[in-house]
This record gives sequence, structure tokens and C-alpha cells, in this order.
Amino acid sequence: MHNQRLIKTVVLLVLVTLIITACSPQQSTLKETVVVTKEVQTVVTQEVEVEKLVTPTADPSGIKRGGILNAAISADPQGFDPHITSAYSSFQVLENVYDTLVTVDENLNMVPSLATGWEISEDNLTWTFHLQEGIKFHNGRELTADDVVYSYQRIMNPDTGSGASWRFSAVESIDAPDALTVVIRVASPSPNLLNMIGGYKGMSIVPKEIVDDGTVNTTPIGTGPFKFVEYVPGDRVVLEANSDYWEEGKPYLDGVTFKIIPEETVLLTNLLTGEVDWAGTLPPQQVTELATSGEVIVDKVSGNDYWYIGLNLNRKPFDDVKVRQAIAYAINRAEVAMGAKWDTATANQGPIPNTSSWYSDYQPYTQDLEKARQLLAEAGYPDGFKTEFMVTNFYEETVRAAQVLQAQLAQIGINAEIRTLEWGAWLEDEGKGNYDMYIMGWIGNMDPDEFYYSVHHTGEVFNFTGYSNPTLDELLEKGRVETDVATRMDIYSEVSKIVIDDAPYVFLYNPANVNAWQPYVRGYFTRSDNAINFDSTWLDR
Amino acid sequence: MTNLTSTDLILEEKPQEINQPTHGWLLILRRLLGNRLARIGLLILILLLVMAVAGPYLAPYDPNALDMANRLSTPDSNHLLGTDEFGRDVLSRIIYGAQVSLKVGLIAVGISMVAGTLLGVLSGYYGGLIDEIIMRLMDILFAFPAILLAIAILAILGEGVENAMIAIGVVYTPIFARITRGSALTVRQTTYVEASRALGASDGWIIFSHLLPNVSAPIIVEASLSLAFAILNEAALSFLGLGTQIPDPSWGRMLKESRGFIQSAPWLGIFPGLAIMLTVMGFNFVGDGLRNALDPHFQQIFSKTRSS
Repeated sequence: MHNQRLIKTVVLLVLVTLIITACSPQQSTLKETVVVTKEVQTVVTQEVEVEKLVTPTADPSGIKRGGILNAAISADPQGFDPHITSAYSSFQVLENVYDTLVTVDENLNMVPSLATGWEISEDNLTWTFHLQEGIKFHNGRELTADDVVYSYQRIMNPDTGSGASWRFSAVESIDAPDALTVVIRVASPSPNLLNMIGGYKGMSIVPKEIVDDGTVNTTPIGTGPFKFVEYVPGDRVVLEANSDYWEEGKPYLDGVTFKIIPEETVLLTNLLTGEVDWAGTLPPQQVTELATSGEVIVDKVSGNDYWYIGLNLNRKPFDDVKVRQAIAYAINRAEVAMGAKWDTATANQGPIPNTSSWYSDYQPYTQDLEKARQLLAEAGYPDGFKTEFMVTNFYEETVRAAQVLQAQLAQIGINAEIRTLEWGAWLEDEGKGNYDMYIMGWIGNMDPDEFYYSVHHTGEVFNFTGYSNPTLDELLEKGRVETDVATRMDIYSEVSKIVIDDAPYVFLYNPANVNAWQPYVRGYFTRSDNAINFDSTWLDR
Repeated sequence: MTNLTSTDLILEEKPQEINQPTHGWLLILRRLLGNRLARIGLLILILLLVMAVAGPYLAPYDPNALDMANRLSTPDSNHLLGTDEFGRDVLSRIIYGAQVSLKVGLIAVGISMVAGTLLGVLSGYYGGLIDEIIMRLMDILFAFPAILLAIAILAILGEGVENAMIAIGVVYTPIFARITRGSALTVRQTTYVEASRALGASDGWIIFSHLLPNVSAPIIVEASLSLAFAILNEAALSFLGLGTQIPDPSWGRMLKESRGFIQSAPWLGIFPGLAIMLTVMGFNFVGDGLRNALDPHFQQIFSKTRSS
């Protein structure tokens, strides 16, 4: 009897020891802050603080080839035609399939891609690009300057319905004098041209034949590091390595399988159990915990996206600037950021993040309830008013932000209901101006022109608030064509002051981009422009 | 557990005549209180009722008040059940949520009881084509899984707690219609109804003075059981984001919001989950107790088949 109990105790002890050993983290991670000095468009120097988690065992040499990377993304791609789709979920895939003439590196410098170099004429009106020799599309055909001309003309053609056509608004002509040269002539100096044609994958070079046979939206054929294999809706997108890729030796992986997992918590479980090796999103409330747990590598980088409250200037009482400013004074942005994104967002009173050289330190609206009440009284609403927030559960953070904002605005008598809509219905109501206030974000902007022009210039397509200020319009038009960086800085600091004072948007915060992966995934960096590139990624196992 | 109840009841109840009507609310109440599970159920329901009625006086905090500095605080003396992701007091939200649950349950079941009884009586009393049409319609509604039908109705009406009540009400109408019709068919052929008719009583008189009293017992039982399902469905709809809208506290909605915190703040899910479970259990116990109290005959057959 006693013996039996002893044996049981021993067995139990052994088991407990085994379990404890199995549970202890095998790899610890180290948090360090790196200050990176980077050059934007070779003229502006800026300092960026990048928080990065680095594994002490990381070894820069000894890249291992082969293997399939399982990557989790949260939404289905909405079509694969890079010139037409505007969905981030499409570009997550297309980023690896297509190339642009020039591209952005992880420090947001414009660098060569399909074009090895370029020259600008004396008068700043002619740009000449030289293509690399021997670049092949995935169907085996060689890329020529005609493909570039074709792609750009397709984007410019209104019949295509490309959301990127405005990027060519300054362009007069595009020609291919020979097979490896592309000449772009602009009507006015366009300091932003490289960014316009290489800033995002909507400017990809596509072969004419897949447009002609109508397969461009279903089976993309590009020049990128990975070839498209198949897409199973609601399940996965499969890519395989392009053995003819123009960058020697890349990619290192045999392929990438994007698994579509909409539910955040399920996605996280998949990552933790190793079902997927890489994840494009994490539940924000768990980012810090995961980063310190060491189970996976969490990479958090300040992003260029911004989230804001859009006010309907065509409706009372938002037509009164005092009411808009009262709202801007009444809210506590740090709390909103915390409520919506936990500690993965930075409060900001303007759109451009403080990591950008275009950041404006004009931040007049520190929470001041007295001032807010006074402004409301001056506008004729001493007791506040009833209104609504239009949000969508497609972006859960808008619902969460609305709850915090609702409580904050109630303090000055503004009682806002929260109207939660499905994404399609939300977009429709925004387009029709059928709202009082909405909460939304804009993503993927880099140049200040992108941050302001299309959303605040009078009558522009994305100007949903009905805001119009001739002084601002004039400045915005000047800013587009100004080549002197210092003058341009002045223009946009003036622009940001006007927009923040007029408050058609009440800006809230800039979220960080967060990607996470298993420790054996190497050579991947989360980028501030949210582009997902697996061309240098490899698996250490 | 069930066996225990059944034996309890067998010991307390004496076999009665099959057609002897149950009468006297005191008698029913005494029978109900004699059932241990029903006593527990009643206790839970009284607690729920107190929470719903006296919520504003009981809740230690405003259920919608944000306190970002104290979010996700663990249950302690300041916040007995902890706080949620916005620093809202979980206990206060559960207390206020009782109001929502009870309101939705009562109104939804009220809708289905009135509509179902009316349809069932019409169908059972008149028979023929009316019966065919009504009952086939009910069959169609009955063929859908409850929650699926509710979602479909909400897709037409739009989200919100009022529409959720209507949707749940429609979903449970066929059950009441069937029960009523069954009883009405039997009662219609009794001699006293024939006698009444022979004396020149109108259809309305017969329905209100003979039919309805005879179907009231099964309807009351069904209503108390349906309340449990209605509350469960409201929680499910709110969990899916179709029921109670933010920021109003609803147990289902609290469960939905707790999903991201299962590991870091489990109390966010556990307490509303417990509240739903206890409430549903309470209604079920009382419903079972009522069934036994109102229909001793049924209870006997029931307990015999159960224990065999």
C-alpha cells in the first residue's frame, strides 16, 4: 500500500517536472529601441524611432532556402486587378506578385525596382526611366517599356475606373522611345512623381495579354518574386516562388500560402500553435502581452494611417466651426486611442504621424471641457444637442472608439447615439452624406499631398464632409507643384493649421502596424506603409 | 437529478382523476413550492426581478460610465466582479442587463403567446380550410431553426432590441399555436360546448368562456419555458451584434465583448455567462414545476417513463 503511494508520488513529480519544462519559454526576446536616420526622396532627412523585438540568436548569415510560409490574413482579397481594387486585403497578396517601376524600401526611400535609374530634365518636366534588361513576366514573356506605357495609360483611362488615376493628374504624356526606356512628361514640376508611381502596388506593371483575355482580376501575372497559383474564396491564396525573378537568388521560400482567418482570436490561436507561421494582424489588447511572452516575435512599427471623426458640414449644427472645435476640445485623444487600439496607437491632432518629416506640431486641442462648453454656448447650443456616430463593425475599432467618444461628448451635453452599420451600407451612407458624425481611417498615405488633397480640397471625390475653404484649396494646389522642399514644408504646415482649426475632421490617432511571426521566420520586417513583402523571408528550421 | 424530482413529486401528489381540472391558485402554488427545484428556480427569478426593478438603486456604478484608468481591473472590493475593457463595472452592467433580458423575454413571449393562442384557437375551433392554412404556415415557421429564423427576421427589420423582441416573438408563435389548437380540438367536441352551442351561444362566447380556460394550463407552462429560450435567444442575437445595441448592457453583448479577453480577463465572460445560465435554469425549473403542479396526470406519466 505504501509502496503504491510512493510510486504514484514519484510518477506525479516526474510528470509535473516534464510539464513545467515543456512550458518554459525556449527563446527569450529582447526589446530594444533603434533610432534610424533615413532619407526621403534623397532630400529630406528625418529621424524615426522604430521599436523592434530582436531575437538574440538571430544570425544574419546562413540563409536557408525552401519551405512554404503559411501567412494568416484577416480578409478575402477583393479582386486581383491592381489597377482597380482598392482593398488592402488584395494588396497583401499582390505586393508579392507585381512590381512597380520604382519602389519604397522599408525606410520609405524611393529606390529602383523595374527601373534601374532615372533622370530629371533641367526644367523638371521630363523624367526618363531606364528599365532592367531581361525581366520576365510569370508567363515567360519579357517585360518591355511598352508594358509600362500600357499599364500607365490603362490607369489614366477613365473607362478603367482606377482609383489611382489622380496620381497621374500632372502627367502629360508617357512614351517608350526604345524597349528599355520610358519617358514621362509632366505639365508642372512634380516633386512627388516617384512616390506617385512607386508608392503603392496600385501602380503595378501588368502584361497587356491578361487584360485582353479578361483574366487580370482572377489570375494575376506579374514580374514579382512569387507567382499566383490559386485562390479558394474564404480559405486561402496560394503563391509559388518565381524561379526567373529578376533579383538574383530571391525569393528564398518555395511559396507562400495566405490563409484567410477573419476572427482575430482564431487567427492568434493559429499563430501560437504554429498552424500559421506569420500573422498580419493581432488582437490589439494582446500585443504587449504577446511581445513580452516570447512565444512569437511581435513587430510593432509606427504607421502612416490615421483615424478621425468626420463631421457633416452640410448638416446643422456641424456647419458651425465653433461646434466642430467644441468637439475637438471635448475629447481626450489618448483615451480614445487606448480604448480603440490599446497601446498600439499614438494620439494625434493632425493626420500625419510624428515619425514623418511632414508632422505638424500644431496641437491646439488639449482636452478642455470649459472651453468646449463656452464654444457650444457661443454657437447657440449651451445645453448641447442630440446627434449620432456612424460606425461599422467591419472595423471593430470604430465601434470601440465611438463608445469612448460617446462618454466624453456627454460631458458637454452632446448626446450621441451609436449607429453600427454593415460595411457596404456604411460606405453608401458616407457617400450620400447621410450621417452626422462618422469614425473612419485613411491608410497608406506618405506624401502630405496624399494626406490632404483628395479629402479636403473643394469638391474632390473623397471630400465627404462637404468642407470647402478657398485659401486651403489654393495652398493645396501650390503644394502639389512646389519643388523646393523648405517652401513645401511651409505650405503644408500652413495647410495643417487651417485643417486643424476648421476641423472638418477631428483627428484622433495614428495606429502602429503590427505583424507577428514564429521565431523561425527570418528576414521579414513590418513596414510603416503596411506593405507585406516576403521576397527576403526564409524559414530557419 | 430528474429522478430525484420525480420521486419527490410522486410522494407528494396523490393520483387524480384524468379530467379533473386543476383549480385554486393556492393549491398550485403549494404544489409548486413542494418541488425543490421549482423553489430554487423561483428564488433565482425573484432575484432577477429585484435586479431588473431595483437595478438603478442596486448597481454600485453607472453601467455605461467609462473609467479608462481602471480598465480590466480584477474583481476586488471596489468592483466586485471587476471592470471591462473600458473600465465599466461588470456587476453594474449585469444588474442593468437583467432588465434588458427580462424585458425582452416577457415582451417576446407575450407576443408569441397572444399571437399563437389566437391562431391556435381559430385553427382548432373552426377547423377546415382556416385550420389548414394557419397550421401549414406554422409548420413552415417551425421548420427553421429558431435562431436562424430570428436572424432572417432581423435582416428584414434591421438590428436593435425592439426588433429582436419581435423576431423572437414570431419564432415562438408556432409552439403556442400548436398547443392551443390541440386543446381546442378536444374541447370543441365536448358535450358542454355542444350544449352551449345548442343554447345559442356565439362563437366568441364559447371561445372565451370554454376554450381559453381549458388551454390556459399548458400555455402557462409553455410560456415559462419559452421565457428561458427567449432570454437565451436575445443573448445569442446580441452576441451576434443584432440585438441590444451599444453601449446598453446586455449579457449576450458582454459575452461578445469578452471574447478577446478570455485569457487575460476571464471574469468578463464568466459572470455574464453565469447570469444567462442561472436565469435560463431558473425559468426551466419553474416551468417544469408548473407543469407538474398544473397537470398531475402528465406528471405521473412523465415520471413513470422517466424512471423506467
